[in-house]
Amino acid sequence: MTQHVTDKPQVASGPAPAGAAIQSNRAIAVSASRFGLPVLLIILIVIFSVLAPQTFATVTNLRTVLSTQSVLAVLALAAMMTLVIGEFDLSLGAQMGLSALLFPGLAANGTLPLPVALICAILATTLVGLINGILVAKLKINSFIATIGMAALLSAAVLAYSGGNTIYAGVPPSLLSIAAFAPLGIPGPIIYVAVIALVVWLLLQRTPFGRWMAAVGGSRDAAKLSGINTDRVTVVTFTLAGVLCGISGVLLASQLGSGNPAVGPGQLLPAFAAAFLGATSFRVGQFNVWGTIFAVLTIATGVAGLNLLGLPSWVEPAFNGLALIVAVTATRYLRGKPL
Amino acid sequence: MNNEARSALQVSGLSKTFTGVRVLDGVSFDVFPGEVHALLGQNGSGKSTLIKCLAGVYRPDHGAEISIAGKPTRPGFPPSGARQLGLAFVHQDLGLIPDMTVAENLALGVGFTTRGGLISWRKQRSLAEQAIDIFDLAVRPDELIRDVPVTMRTLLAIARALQTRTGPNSSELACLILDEPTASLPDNDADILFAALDRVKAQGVGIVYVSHRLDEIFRIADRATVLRNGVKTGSYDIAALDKRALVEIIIGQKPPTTSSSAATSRPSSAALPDVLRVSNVSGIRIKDLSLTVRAGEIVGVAGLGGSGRSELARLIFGAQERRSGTVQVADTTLPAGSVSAAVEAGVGLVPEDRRRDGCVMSMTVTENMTLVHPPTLTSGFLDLRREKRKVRDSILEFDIRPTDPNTVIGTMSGGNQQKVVLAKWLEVNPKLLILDEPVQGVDIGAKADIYRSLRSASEQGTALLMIDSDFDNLAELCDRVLVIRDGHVAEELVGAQVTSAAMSRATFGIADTHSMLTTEFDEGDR
Repeated sequence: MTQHVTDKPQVASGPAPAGAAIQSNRAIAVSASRFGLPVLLIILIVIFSVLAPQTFATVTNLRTVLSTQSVLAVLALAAMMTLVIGEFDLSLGAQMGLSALLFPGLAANGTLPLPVALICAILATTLVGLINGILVAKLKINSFIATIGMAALLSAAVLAYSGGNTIYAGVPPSLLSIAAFAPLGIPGPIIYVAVIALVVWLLLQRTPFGRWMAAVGGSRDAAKLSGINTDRVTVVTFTLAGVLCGISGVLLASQLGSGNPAVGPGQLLPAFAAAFLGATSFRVGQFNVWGTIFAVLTIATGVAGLNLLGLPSWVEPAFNGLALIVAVTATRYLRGKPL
Repeated sequence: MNNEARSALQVSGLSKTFTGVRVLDGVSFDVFPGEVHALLGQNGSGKSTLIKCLAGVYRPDHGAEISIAGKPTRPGFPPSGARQLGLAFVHQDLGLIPDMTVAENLALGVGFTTRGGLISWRKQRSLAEQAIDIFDLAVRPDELIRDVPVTMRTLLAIARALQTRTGPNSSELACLILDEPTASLPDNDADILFAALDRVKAQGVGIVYVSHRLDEIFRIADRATVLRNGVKTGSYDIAALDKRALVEIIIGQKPPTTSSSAATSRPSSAALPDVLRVSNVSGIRIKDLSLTVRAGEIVGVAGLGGSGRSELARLIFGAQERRSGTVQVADTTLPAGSVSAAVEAGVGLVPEDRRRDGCVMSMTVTENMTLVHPPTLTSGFLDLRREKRKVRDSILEFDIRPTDPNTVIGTMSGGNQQKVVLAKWLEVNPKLLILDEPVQGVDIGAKADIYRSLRSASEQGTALLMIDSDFDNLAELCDRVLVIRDGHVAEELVGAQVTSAAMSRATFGIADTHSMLTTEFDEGDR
């Protein structure tokens, strides 16, 4: 008898026919899902245009939706980047809040020139991202816990800095010009988001670092045993997420024209909803840039349309919460494994 | 046989088939009350499967009969049923929870005593004290398991197994099954365990004892049942055997491996430089180990499970921190515990656990294959065109199916996944490639392809260090085999000595007189 038997037959045999059936069902679902979000977006636009032609189907409304959602889009990209490496950054909203407060705060009464204040605000969240990364990668603290703690600390910092009051006194009006900038009638925020999305896409899809991020998220052990410095990838990713949070905060402040200590944390859930919903489209089952952007647009269109139809204000959080749960469930199924 | 009526455990006609492969074939044996019955066999002989069938983890094939203390059972009882029927198991990992106290861990076995729905800790503590008293252990019930020495933990696990389950249908413990109980014990503490087992024997409990360490078998066992390729070769009185005879029974008469001639006909790599130099390296099981591998050489590492085979791979590759010693690859001395440095120096590792460590299951064939050094343009961006070309070439060269480079690797068969892992490393022309069970769970066709790639890599100068629990695989491919025993290289087999029988003898520490002669002959010939 030459046949050799391994010590682990259950591994050798694997999930045979039942697994194959699930696989093929999933394959169908995956291909059906690929352009689900763009199709859903078009359907929503058509429905609301028919129901509210005077208010919804206008260029003004389009501009408003796109501009206001630019803040969320950048934040969602930050959430997506940390999700790609298999980590959660729950301090994203608080980081954005910090930047949105620091920028006008530092620029108020000419304390710092506007560009310097802008850079300082982004540097602050970059530093926060770096600390998050070190806590997770080097001190081996679960990212969920580390960043929830960081979020609380940042909220405290925001309260301490502002005293709980909105900062508007002495804020230079030029602050608004960042968001108001509109070459050829295209709102600046749309251009900023497009550029940022393209840069993030290039990083993820066209650089070795992007591959390493995906590998760390897919299997930290396999990544490490391929010679990838997984700790460095983690730290850099959290830091880059911090940069994006800073940018989204700056965008928000330039739309508001003031520093509001209450904004930020509320944007965390919509950002995650968009990142998860995005994983159901384009590169199905994987967190991806265009899926995330389309998810932001789809949710925003849905919410804007429902608002214009006169539905009450609780619709928006309900919509976001439902989108998150549905998206996570769908992503789990499409990936074929828990997140 | 009048023994049958009072056997602690009686098994007859037990077979187990996994997707057409018969792993156990009609195994029958019985264990008397108060005896230590060794269960022996090589890696893959079916011991683990047999134990899992007894524990109710696997359901045996139809026709098996298992009687416990003379009472027939219905095979296929759930794992939770084994103890109620009178069987208790102490597995290698003991099943103790480090962050719980001694009393709590013991209660996990016998169940918690409650008063009005709440746990009665006073009662629980006194139950724990009873268990501790079985072996006069020097522990307190409220100590955490993590603070208790390893040997004590093993005894606590046994004590827990002995405590009768308090339930209406529970039976007295008839048979205790110990799976490699000394594997993690310090050498001199085995005596403490054996003294404890003598007390268990005295209570009339039968003990099934699984161990690779034959010295222990001769010290403690009364009889032994030997499995070979899933078939029982016999049950033997230990007193009537010596170590050499027992090893021959365990290995059996294997035909000489023909392919070792292929190894000897290869051009001698004696003139080539050393690529890997490991000097006095120690880890957890590995102690003061030294070895060298020359360029283009295929060196096998043979050892029993738990000998530190895989640990050796991790120590060299930097995936595990070494306590002492140096690892040199070509002219570079590798820092301890840095995989990146090892990869930078030209070392690759095909890990044992392919699904966890070898592939990133969510990534495509392309992404997995170029993970080590993705091809880049001077701008720093990925060179997708060059990458595509390289991957297509590798897919053809390794005959990877499906051939689509964008296939997600998690959907492929084990053999094809392994080819991708291999291609990933060979693509960067490593100086040294370490292979840990490279053909485990791989079908015959893929295995031949993998061996072909490995031979051609070695011809191009890559040094290969291959670990395999199936010694036939080592005999087929290796120029030289190092046998690991007690954490260091105990023996070295070269050329015609590279047979699986010689490796088996050497892993058990039995000198192979025939091979000794050939060594001298070889030396003279040179």
